[in-house]
Amino acid sequence: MGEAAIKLGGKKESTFMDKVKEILPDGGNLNLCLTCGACSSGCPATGLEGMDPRKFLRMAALGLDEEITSTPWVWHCTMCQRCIYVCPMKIDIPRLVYYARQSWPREERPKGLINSCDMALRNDSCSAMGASPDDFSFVVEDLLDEYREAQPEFKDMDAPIDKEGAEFFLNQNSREPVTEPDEMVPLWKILHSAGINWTYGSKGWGGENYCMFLADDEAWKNTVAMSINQAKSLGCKTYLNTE
Amino acid sequence: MEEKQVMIMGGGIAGLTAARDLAEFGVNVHLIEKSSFMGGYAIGYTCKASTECLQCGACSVEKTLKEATETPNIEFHLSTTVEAVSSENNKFSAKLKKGPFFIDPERCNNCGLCYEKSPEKGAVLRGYSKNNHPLYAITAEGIQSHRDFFASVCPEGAISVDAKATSETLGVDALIVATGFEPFDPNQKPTYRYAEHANVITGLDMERIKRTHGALVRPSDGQPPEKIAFIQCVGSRDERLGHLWCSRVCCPYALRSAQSIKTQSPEMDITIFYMDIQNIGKNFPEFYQTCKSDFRFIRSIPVDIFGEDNDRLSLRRFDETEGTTVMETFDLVVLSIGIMPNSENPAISKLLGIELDQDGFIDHNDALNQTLTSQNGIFVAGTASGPNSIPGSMAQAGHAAGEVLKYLGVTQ
Repeated sequence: MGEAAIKLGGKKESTFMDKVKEILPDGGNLNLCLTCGACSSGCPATGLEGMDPRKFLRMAALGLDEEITSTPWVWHCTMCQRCIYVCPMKIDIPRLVYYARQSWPREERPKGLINSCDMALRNDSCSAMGASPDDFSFVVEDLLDEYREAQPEFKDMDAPIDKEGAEFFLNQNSREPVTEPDEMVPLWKILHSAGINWTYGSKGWGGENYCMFLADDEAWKNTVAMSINQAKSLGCKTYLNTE
Repeated sequence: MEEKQVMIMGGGIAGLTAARDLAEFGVNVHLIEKSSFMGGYAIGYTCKASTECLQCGACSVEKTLKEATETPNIEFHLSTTVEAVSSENNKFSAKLKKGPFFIDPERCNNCGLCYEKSPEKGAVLRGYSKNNHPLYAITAEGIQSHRDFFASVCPEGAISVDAKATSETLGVDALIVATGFEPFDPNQKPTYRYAEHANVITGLDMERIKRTHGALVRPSDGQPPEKIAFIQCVGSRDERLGHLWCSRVCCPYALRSAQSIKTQSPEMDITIFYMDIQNIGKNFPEFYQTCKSDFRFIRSIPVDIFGEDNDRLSLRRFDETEGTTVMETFDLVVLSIGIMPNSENPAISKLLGIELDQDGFIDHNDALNQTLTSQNGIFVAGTASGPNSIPGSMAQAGHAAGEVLKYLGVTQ
């Protein structure tokens, strides 16, 4: 009678990557990496903070959870999704980055993102610059009058807010109405010349989506819901995300 | 014993090999080829010998084609498609659409006048092998646009501008599907900008350039490059595109081509970008070691190719020792494209009632016999059933011929 078989190790502890795999469809293909480096060849954040997408994924696969959830590199990522686009195995690295962001205590995330998200939650505009619905209406109407007068060929141009039954609902980066209002006009002119039936919303017009970049799901849901519900209540058919 | 009839669909290396092997046993073979020339893709491949033969198999295509054309009981049906197939009592009836044949092979002496004087490039096609007869074919579009020219150009009177397509029905006892593959379309990997950069070419383009110019030159200026990059696994092993398979031939063709180029031009600077090298097969691991000392291997797949002055190309790739991206300039970039299922496979599957595998290649019914399809009496050979090399396709085609002979009762 031989000795009892030796068991190696204990039960594998669930790692950060395992948890993310459970959330993503098809596990985000996170364990399909061929280590070809295409993600890192195409990533604009490769080399920042001594990190790149391939290294990040490999570290996650090796269960280096502490490093993965503490590297500030995740905040350099622009969430452009180029890594998954060029990955032959379609590995969802962007979501892995997103959940790594989420693992940070909110107050320790980048200040700029926290402030911009908090600002968007301040009123119904969801503007990261804190502009109120009234401020927005005032700027748009004032600017429209100015252009109609100065450029008679656009005297019939419109920039409606809360127009019921418009085909398209447009959001707007709040930098323009707050700091560079004239920058809004070229798009109005295009829409006018093309005869498009569109509208802004007084609620949820701010399109920056900083709460998403902050990886604050609840706040992100609030701002997106505000905008979408406004588009729906106006009966718009298509939401045009200009961001 | 009554004479047995076999129809082979596809006149590439697999079809030619199976035809030759069957004919040796007295079987009458109908070899159906939709294009105007026998030999498939492989007839266009160049010899990749360095100072010694690197066993690419390219020369065996020419040899097999020659043997097949010299075998009396193989009937070639060029420019022919199979329109319908029915079966009854172990007999197949195949309806063929043939031609139109604008050049009469009896009269044509392959002088090439129609090709050289053609008012439009592409109106007259030229085969790769002198064993193709006629060596030239005129397209229907060419005839339509330049009717008067073609009506008068041939001194032998071999061109008939009024030729029409005809039908023929064949009765056969068995069928071999040898309809081959399709090269990967590199435009599906848009960051390489194949359509935009003249000097980004595929492995197949490289073969054609070598055939035409006798050496590898840059398409932009016809000059030999000094610095070449090969990018491996383009279109293969790709979950995004649904191509999870390894195409098996790209590592061998890239390395053999690189070695052959290096032998011709020892100063050539060659880099292979790869994820891993399929160095399988007899002698290949040893050959790979030689390659490693002759060119640079970088284990990183570049993603972006930017144009520079003088049609040079700048590649951006990840440098794993530095942990950053680096840019490097090359004269020519070869994309090692892989083997894809023939896009006509769904139609072939329907026509013959045979099944395709999950990747879209012709499925084999028996894991241990890769020549049997899901239909009794229908066999498969070559890259129609999945990626394969020239020698591999020939071996499988020989096996398929053997299975057909057993099925027909010609051999035991």
